[in-house]
Amino acid sequence: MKRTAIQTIVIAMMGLFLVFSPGIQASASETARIFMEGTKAYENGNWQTAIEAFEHVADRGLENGSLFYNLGNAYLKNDDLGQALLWYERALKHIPDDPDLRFNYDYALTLTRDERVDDRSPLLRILFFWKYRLSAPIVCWGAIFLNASVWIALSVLVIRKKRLLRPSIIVAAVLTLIFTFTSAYNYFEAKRINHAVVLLEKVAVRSGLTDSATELFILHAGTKVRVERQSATHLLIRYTKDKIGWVKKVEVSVI
Amino acid sequence: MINAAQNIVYLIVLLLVTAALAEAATVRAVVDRNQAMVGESISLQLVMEGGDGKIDLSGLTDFKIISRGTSSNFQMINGRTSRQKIYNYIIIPLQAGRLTLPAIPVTIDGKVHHTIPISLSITREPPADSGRRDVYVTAEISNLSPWIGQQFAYTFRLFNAIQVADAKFQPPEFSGFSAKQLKDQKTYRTVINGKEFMVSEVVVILVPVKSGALTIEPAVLHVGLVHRSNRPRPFSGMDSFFGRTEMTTRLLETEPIEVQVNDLPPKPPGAPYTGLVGRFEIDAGMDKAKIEVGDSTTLAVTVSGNGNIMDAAAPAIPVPKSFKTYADNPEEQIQVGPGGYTGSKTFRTALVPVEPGQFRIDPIKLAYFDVDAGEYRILSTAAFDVTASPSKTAATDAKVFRATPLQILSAKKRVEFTGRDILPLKTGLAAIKPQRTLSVWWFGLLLLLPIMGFFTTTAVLKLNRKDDSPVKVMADKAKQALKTAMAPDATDTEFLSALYRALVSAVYSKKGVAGTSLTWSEAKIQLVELGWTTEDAADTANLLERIESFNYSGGTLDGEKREALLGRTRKAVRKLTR
Repeated sequence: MKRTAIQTIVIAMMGLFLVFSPGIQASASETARIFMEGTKAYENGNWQTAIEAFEHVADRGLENGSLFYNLGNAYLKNDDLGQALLWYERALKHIPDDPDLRFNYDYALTLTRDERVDDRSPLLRILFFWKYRLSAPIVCWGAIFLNASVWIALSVLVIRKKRLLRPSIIVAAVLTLIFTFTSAYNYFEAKRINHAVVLLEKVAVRSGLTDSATELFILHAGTKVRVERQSATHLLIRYTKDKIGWVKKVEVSVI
Repeated sequence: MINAAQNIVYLIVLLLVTAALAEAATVRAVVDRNQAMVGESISLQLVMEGGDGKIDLSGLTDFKIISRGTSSNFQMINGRTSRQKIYNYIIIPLQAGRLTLPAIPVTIDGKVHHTIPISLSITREPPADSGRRDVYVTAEISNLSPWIGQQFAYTFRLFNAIQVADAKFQPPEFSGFSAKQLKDQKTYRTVINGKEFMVSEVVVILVPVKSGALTIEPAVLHVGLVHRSNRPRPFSGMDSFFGRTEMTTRLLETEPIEVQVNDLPPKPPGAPYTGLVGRFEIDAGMDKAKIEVGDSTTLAVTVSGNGNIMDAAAPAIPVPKSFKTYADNPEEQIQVGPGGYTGSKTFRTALVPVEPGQFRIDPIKLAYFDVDAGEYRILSTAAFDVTASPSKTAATDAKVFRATPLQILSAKKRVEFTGRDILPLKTGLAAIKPQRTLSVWWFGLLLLLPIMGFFTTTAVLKLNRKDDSPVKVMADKAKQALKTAMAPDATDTEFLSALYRALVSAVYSKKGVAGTSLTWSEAKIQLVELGWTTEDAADTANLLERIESFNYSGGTLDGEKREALLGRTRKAVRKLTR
C-alpha cells in the first residue's frame, strides 16, 4: 500500500516534470507517456497491456537494459516463459550486474523444463576466470583505464625519469594486454556467436527443413541455444555438442 | 581358355549395362490393406525400379509415418534384368473417414515421378467397453476439481486381449501440475463383455501448481501387436507346430482430460498456516516433565497425514522465556502410493531451563487446508507442564550453560524461500534513455588516444630540449660576452675582458670543447688544426694579442679604437660560431 502510494507520487512527479520541462522534445514525452502507461498497467495486473506498451517503446529502437528487464517481468507474469527469458537475456547484455535482473532471471530459469547445460570447459573457466567473472562492459572499461594508466606513467617516466615507476608500469602493461585481448574476444563473441531462446511451449528440433524431417529431440520454452547458421525460414541450432538440428525461425528468437 | 572367359565376362557386363540403361525408372506405392481403424498400422511399400530417388512424404498429413528401412532386389529373367529398391513404412491413420494416400513425389535422377493415389477406408474404433477391441488405452483422474496443492492420481491403463510387445509409453506433459510417476506398475486380468483382458496400470500422482481450467494432454502408447498370420504360404500346415506370428504397430491415444483447479480460500487471520493441503494430524510428547536447571528434555512434535507432508515446516513452540531451545533436523517417513504422499514428519526440540520453577508450555498449533471439508482447520496438541528444580551443581550451571556458544550456532538453519515471485519493475525514466554499448571503433579510439598522447609528449619534449653541447654553450657564451662589451657604460677593463671572453669562447665553440682561457699562440695553433688558413688564424690570433695587450697595458681607449676592436671581434666571433 505504502509502496504503491510512493510509486504513484514518483510517477506523478515524473509526469509533472515532463509536462513542465521545456527541453524535452515531443517524441521523448510520447515515449515517456507510453512507458508510464506500461508501468501503470503492470501495477494493475494488466500484463498484456504492459507488454504492448513496453514493446512499443522498444520498437522505436530504444536499447535499455531496464526497459528489457520490465518486458521480461511482464512476459513472465503473463505466463510466457520463452519471451520472458528472451528479454532477460537481452537485458543482461546491458546491465549484467543488476541484482534485480539477476534475481528474476534466476527465478525464471527455475521454471524452464530443459536442463541448462554449459559446454564450456571447466579448465578454460579456471584459466580465464576474469572472462567469466567480469561482465563485458567492465572488461572493456578496465582495458581502457589500464591502457591510459600505462601510457600516462610512461610519459611521466620520460619527463621525470623516475626509475621507481618501471615495475608498476610492467604489471599494468601485462594487465592491459590481458584486458584488451579479452575485450576484443568479447566483441568478436558478441558479433559472431549468436544465441537464441525457444519461444514456444514445445519445439521439435528436426534433421531437415521440412515438417516431415525426422524429429531429433524436443526443446521447451525458455531454453537457450546457440545459432550455428540460418536459412530463409529455419535456424540450425545447437543445444549441446551432440544435439544439433533445425527449427523454424518463428519458434525461437535470436537474443 | 583365359581369353574365352574374359570375353564371357565382358559380354555379361555389357548386357547388364545395356539393360540398366534401357530400363525406364518407375515408382509405385503398395499397401497391405485399404481398410483399417484409427490408430491401426498399415504397411506401405514404395517400390522403385530402375533407380533410387528421394521420397517426399510431406503430403501425408493424415497419417503418422514410421520408417521401417529399405531393401533391394536384383533379378534377371529371360535375359532381362530388373533392379528394385523398396522403402518400407508403417503408416497410422490419425482420423476416421475416407482418406486418400496422395500421389507421393519421388525424384529419380532429377525427374519427378508420382505414385498412384490410394483410397483408404478408415473407421472409428468401437467403444472401449464394448469388448470388441483387442487393445485400447484409457486415462482417468481421481479428482476432476481439486484444490491447488491437493494431490490426486492420474491412472493410465492398457487393456490388451492379445499379446503386445515393444510398448513405448509417452506420458502427457502435465502442464500446470507437478507430477510423480509411481515406480510400481500394477498388472491384472479383467473381463469386459465376456472378453478377458490383461490390464497394465501406470499411476502418476499430480499436484496442481496453478488454478483455473487445466487440460491434461492425451497419453500416447506405441505398441506392437503380436498375432497369428492369416496369409497363406507354403507348408502352412506346419504353422501350428512352429507358431508362426507377425507383429503390427499400433498408436494408441487416451482422451484429453479437463481439470478445474480451485484456488484456496483466504486463510483466517492469525492462523498458523504453513502451506499444508490434505488431511493431517498432530501429536506431541515430552520425554521428561521434571528436570534440573541446565538439563534438557526433548519435545517431539509429529505431523502426519495425507498430502504435501514433505512441505511441512516446524510448528512454532510457545516456550517460556526461561527455556533455551535447540531444534534437531526433522525425521521424515514419507511414502508415495496410489493415494498420493502419506507419512509423518517429526520435529524434535531440546528444551533447557535456565532457572528453576513451574512452567507450562501452551498447546502447539498447526493450521492446514482440509481438502474434504474445503476449509482451514487448526490442530492443537495438549499443554505440557515442566518442573525445573535447582541444579545440584548450581554454582557452575550458568557458566557451563553460557560457555556453549557452539550449540547456539548449531541451531541456526539455512534460510529457505517461503514464497517465490519476481522483483518489481524499474519505473525510473532512466529506462527510456538509450543505453548503447561502447562500439568496437570507440573502444579502439579510446585505446589509441593515450598512445598518441604519449608520442606527442615525447615529440614536444624532443623539440624543446635545451642543446647543452659544448659547441652551443661556448657559442652562447661568446654572444653573451659581446653583448656585455657593447654596453655603453662598460669600463675599458670590462670592455676588453668581455672581448677576450667572446673571442676565446668562440674558438672553443669551434673546437667543440669547453674552456675559459687561451693564449694568442694557442689560439693560432688550434685554428690551423681546425682547418683554417695560416693567414686567417694569424689574423684572429693577432686580434686576441691586441686585446690582451690593451688589457694589460692599462692605457685608455678612445671611442674609435673601441669601435674598431669591437667590429673586428664581432666579425671573428661570427665567423667562428657560424
